Amino acid sequence: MTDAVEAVGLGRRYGRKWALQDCTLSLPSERVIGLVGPNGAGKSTLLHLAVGLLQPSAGEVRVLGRDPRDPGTLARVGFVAQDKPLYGHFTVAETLRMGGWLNPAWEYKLAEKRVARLDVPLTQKVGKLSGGQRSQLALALALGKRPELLLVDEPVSDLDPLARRDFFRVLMEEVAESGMTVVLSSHLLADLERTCEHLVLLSRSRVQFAGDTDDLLARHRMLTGPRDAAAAIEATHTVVQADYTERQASVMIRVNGPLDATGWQVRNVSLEDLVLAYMAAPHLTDDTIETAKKEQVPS
Amino acid sequence: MIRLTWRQARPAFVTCAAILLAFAAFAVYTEREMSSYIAANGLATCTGGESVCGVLGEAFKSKFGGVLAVSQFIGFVPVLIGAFWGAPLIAREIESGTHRLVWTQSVGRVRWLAVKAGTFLLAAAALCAILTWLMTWWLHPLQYVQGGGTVGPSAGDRISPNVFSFMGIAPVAYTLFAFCVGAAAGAVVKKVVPAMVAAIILYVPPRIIMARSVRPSVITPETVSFPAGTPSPRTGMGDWILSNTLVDAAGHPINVDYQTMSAACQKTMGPSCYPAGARLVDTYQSLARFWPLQFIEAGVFVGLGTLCLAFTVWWTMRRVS
Repeated sequence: MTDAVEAVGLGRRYGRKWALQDCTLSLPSERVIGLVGPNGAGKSTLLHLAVGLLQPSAGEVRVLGRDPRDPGTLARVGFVAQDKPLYGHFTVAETLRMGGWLNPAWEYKLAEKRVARLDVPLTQKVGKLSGGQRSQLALALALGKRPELLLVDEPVSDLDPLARRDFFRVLMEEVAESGMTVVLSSHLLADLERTCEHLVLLSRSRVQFAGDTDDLLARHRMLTGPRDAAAAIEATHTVVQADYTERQASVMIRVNGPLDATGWQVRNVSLEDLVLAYMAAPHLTDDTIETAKKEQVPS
Repeated sequence: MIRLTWRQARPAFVTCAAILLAFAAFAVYTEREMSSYIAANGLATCTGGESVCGVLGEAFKSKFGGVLAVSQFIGFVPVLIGAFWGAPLIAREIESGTHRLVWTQSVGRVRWLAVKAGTFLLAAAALCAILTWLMTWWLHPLQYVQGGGTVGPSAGDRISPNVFSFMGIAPVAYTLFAFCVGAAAGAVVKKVVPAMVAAIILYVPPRIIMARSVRPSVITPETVSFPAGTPSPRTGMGDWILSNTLVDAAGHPINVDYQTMSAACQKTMGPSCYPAGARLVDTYQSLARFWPLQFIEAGVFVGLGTLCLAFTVWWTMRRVS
């Protein structure tokens, strides 16, 4: 099956500054994918490249196997930008009708049903909606296209907790029904932890790691034990994060092979711990870890 | 896409239609007034010479001065269209972020721009054509009083710079150019207010250059020479006089010091007041060249507008966001 999004050496530069650099990744289809990273890591840039709002300065990106700028591709992709842009002087009903003016396969009834939950009259001006209602309307507009791929940039960063929960509930119901691919970006993992099956961490405009969440969790362990034994563990496994006291060591490792942990207390890691640890160690990427492993083998 | 454009343009179009209607009502009313004034005072058939007709003309001008001042406002129509329709065309979408909404729907960016710019261009051209036609009809009584106080039946002076740019097809071409230059500025600047300012600033120089340096000489002007102190044989033919030079019998330019003339001469300026054999040479564009000059003017501005539009499309496709 074609990957939903595939980037090879993708980069985008503003003047001399690279907003995204050397980004190679493939996002699998029919998954809910979280794109996390600190502010300024290049998440929005990547999404904008994927919907053709930006042109790459380097490399290439393909969406559903096609050029993202092609209107034929855009008909199959839904996008909700970070600030949920809508025409403020349109009414809610006009906004939904606009979806039909701009898209051949538009489901007005379905969109209207989705918006009915907002508890606002269809004659309400969009400019007067609350943040949560605005987000729901923007989502309904993107979903009305019946997209195969939905990209949502920082969906809940400006919403209160209740509105966040509602937003994800609507989104997840839709995903369960249609089986579409969803890419959600956020600078807070907590927003995505419960919903994402696949995670991509962007930092400093590069992909730091990417993988299925179950897989990632299975490959990492938190060890607590005597400090003098730490060296042996560190020799075979990659240390992502380490805290030492005088006698005790507590390390998060990426398991590279059989783990001999006698004398250690082993815990599973949470996704949040994992992402925080990697964010604090930006030099650790999938690439550098693989290279380091290969170098270890001959010695 | 056409329905979205119509929905977005509706307030602007409705406002303009309302202004146009109000203006038309004003024009009809004042035209009646001016026509009846001219008929009642015999301006159209005045044969009393400069002293009588000139006074009548001045009286008319002071009575209808306000109306004449209003007529000058049509000169601002293209620049207003450029600033209020052209500049926000792309800049408003980018400023409010809604380009991220429309450019990610199933209509491509090219079609979006083509439909949006096309709709506004058509409306701008129609608006300006109607307004020009209305102005021409409205101000036709003025042909009896314009032209430096000459009053009476004349060919009109629609080729003179005061009037030329309000007539024919040139205003429509100015409007198209102003709109396109505004759209281009908006695409580049991406902010509505600075783009409006840029639209106005960029619109004016081509107009000035065209009127000052190109239009007088783009078709080689004609000349007529006649004995100094006698009326020009082309009096009342509606020419656009570009310059007049006093020459001696051999054709060399000469100067006459009007201050040293006798009091009688200063009043009549008759042939005997000039050196023997002196002639006046007028350089002019004849009224017959009104339409050729209109077509050249319109062609130049439509061409410039097309260049701006092509640039806008290119910039929007390649450079924006």
